[in-house]
Amino acid sequence: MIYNEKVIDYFQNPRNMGEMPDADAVGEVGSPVCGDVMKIWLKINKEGVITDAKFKTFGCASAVASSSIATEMVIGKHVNEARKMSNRDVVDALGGLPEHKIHCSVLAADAIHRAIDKYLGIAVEEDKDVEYLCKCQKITRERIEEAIAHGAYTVEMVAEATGATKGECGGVRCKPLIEDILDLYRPRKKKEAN
Amino acid sequence: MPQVYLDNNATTPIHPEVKQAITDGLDLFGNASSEHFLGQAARKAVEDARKKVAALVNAKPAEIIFTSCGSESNNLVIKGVTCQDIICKSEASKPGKHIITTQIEHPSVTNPIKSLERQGFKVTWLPVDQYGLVDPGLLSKAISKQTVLVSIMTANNEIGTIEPIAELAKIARGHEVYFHTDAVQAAGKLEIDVKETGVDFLSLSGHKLYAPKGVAALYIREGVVVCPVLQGGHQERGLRGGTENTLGIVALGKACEVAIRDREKNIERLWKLRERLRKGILEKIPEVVINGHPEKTLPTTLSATFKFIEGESILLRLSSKGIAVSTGSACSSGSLEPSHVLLAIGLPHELAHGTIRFSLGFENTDADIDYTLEVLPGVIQQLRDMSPLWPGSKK
Repeated sequence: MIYNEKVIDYFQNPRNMGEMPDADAVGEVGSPVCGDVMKIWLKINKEGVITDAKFKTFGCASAVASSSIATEMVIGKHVNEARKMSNRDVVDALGGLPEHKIHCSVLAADAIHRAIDKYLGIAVEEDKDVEYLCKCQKITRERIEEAIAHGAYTVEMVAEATGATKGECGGVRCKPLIEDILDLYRPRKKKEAN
Repeated sequence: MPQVYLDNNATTPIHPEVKQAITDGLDLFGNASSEHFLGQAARKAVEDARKKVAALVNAKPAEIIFTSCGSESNNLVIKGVTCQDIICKSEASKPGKHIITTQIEHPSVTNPIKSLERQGFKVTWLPVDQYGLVDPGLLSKAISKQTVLVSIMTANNEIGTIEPIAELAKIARGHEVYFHTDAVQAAGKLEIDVKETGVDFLSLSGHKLYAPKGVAALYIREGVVVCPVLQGGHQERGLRGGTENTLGIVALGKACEVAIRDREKNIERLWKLRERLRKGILEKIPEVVINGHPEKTLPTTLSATFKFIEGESILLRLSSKGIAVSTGSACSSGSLEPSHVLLAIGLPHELAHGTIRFSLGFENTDADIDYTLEVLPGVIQQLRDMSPLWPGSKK
């Protein structure tokens, strides 16, 4: 089995599954083409504390487990606190995910962020000037992160998905930057083990 | 809880008669190359098995080479035919550097060919139609004096579609080009006659026809010269070095004997089970697509796409209820890209993600199908209730 017992438990017995017609915030991320879509509903009180959360997910077992546990993790938290939740927190809470499934945790955290950002009125497109991370191929950081969310977990996979590193400089400039971004998404435990 | 195994295309259980043959052969420890009586006992067992494997595909025993797996058989053909060693008398001595294959082959065909592509070979990847069928007309157009090998599978492992091998091989023969067919998924399940189809190479594998893993065979038509990949001793006419896997070979021989005897009966019985499963799914579950050809298909394979949900979730939920199936996609095996076969038949990505392969074997019964049809609709509905894409949930 590629998943631990906790992941299987959250997949087989998902907590907070369902819709919330009177939600104060809704966040949806992913795409059916990539095999994952997550939708998260939040109920937020006057003090800005999340009092309830629901989810619906199209995706594999780790996608279901990630979104389910993410809803549990934000209930009782202030939106400012919940907004700081990272994909690593989701992975840690699940006791680990296989490397090629890390993107599921990225999507779960993204869905929460998307919902809260919309609630707080923070523009989702906050990039002011377009700055290319891979200058030769004109590829943005956003595009790299999107590739990671769709399953790329090595520089080679990011390169394959986006074309980054394949320009004139041969990745001299952007490879270390992509490594840094990948590091941000990797589970903490794994990093310590290295 | 019942246990229902519907993943026979991945691997099959060992047939009871094959188990007996293995048990009976446990003392055949002699090296089949030794001249003493113990070696000769092993030699006799290996040669008896060779006759049985040959009989399965209507070949001569001398045309059968034993290998370790279907992947090895496929590699031996592709690398053996294109070997560049100057002492070789293989097709490599021909100046041609063109290979033709399809977009739906197994990775053990695709990857060695991609490797040759990187080494300078030109490769034509023939497309397939919506059912997974190769158009012989496209082969005729692609083949040329430069072509050294055509490799097209007999039946597809994911969707079951059976290719028109005789017609395709005839085109290759007309151009004096070697024709290989990966029959791993078809051998033992369909009637195969290498003389009638006119193929030059045919791969088959033990663990897909109720023998154990670790033994397979390759048919090489008499007179065809290839180079060995696993170089070593003189075993298998020098085409496959390494001491013969006597026990595995005995088991494969027995499995072929049983397959010949039971083939007709099994085909008829498995067709009925497959039809019951197919009709049951379509009756009980809305928004399902059945993939592959309606008639030109293996009786053992049923590929179904359940819209709005993802395959791995279906697989794991069925597994927790004692039903073993496989996804049509490679998602759970480390790649997030959906199956190349499903994309090749034109299935959009989102549907390819929701595909399940049910593959039947001789042990399956009506009760297995009943249980599957009892459990499956609930599993599909639960996952759809969880899916934000399921229109039924938007009240």
